[in-house]
Amino acid sequence: MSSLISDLIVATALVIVSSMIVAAFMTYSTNYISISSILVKSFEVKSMVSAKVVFTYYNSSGNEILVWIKNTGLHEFTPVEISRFDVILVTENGVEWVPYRSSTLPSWVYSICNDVDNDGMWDPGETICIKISLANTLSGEFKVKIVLPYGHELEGRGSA
Amino acid sequence: MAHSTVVGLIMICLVALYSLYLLNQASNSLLNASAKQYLLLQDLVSKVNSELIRILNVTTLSNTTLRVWVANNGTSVIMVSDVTKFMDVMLVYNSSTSRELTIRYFMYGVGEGSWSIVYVVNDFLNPIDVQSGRGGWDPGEILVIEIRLPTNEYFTNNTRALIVMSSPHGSISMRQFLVVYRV
Repeated sequence: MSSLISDLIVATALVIVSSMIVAAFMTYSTNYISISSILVKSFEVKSMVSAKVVFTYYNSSGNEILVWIKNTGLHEFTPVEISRFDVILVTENGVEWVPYRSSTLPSWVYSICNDVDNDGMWDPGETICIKISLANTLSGEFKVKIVLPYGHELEGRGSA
Repeated sequence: MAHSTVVGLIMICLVALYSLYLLNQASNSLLNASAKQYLLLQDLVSKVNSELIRILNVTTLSNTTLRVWVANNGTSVIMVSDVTKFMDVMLVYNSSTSRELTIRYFMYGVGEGSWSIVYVVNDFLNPIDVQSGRGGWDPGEILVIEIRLPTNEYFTNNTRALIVMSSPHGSISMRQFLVVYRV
């Protein structure tokens, strides 16, 4: 009788220990999988982002800077992602962060030059034109620095 | 006692094996995703590195039309479907409609305000059929294109202009030229 009770106690203890080990391993595995997925996704997006400045031009009649950028990566940019670009203007008068679609100047907007599939996304191979409307007339050399989401940096230079 | 211990040990072994299986699955999915990514990137990098275009010559056919010779100096074939969709053609020029320099982006197409392929010099490999959008612009071949200004716009005679072209994967070529035509 006492042997049966001790057997039951040992069996119960083993079941409890096994359950705890299962729970611990399941938690660890789930965390490992989700962290790995996040890392892979982040690597995917970062490595897929690539773009190139095709041409930069100061249009004196409109007092605006035009920058054409080609998507040379594999990532499709949504309009929201494009609106989050950092556009930084470096002139002889100083450095300025230019907001997207601001009611006051300077401000920048964009258009897709060759939206092949008309989906409003900036797809690989397509080119966008960023138009920076300036508050003051530009004189001398300037540099436009554009930082895409995920950290890819571009630079266009010109002179007024 | 011996019976319950054996059952317990079997359970612990099963748990260990199942956990190892889960970890293996996670590692496999990670490796698969990385491998796919690596292959895509390898393909992209090879395309970007092997594309090289160069504008050889620009002539003025009329007060609205230019003809441009562009060489594929790279090592990869650029498919005509990519050329017509993704090649950038821009002009900076003196126009009859503005006192300032005009800059314009041209889309591929027919008619005014667009550019189109006229023919390809040395096109014996992957011959280009523009109508069906088939064929390839192979290394060493020269693409001859025509650029037409929009309606009611003319080049100012004897003025300098700049043409900017970019291949589908971002090889950029620029050339300045003189716009001269017979009045």
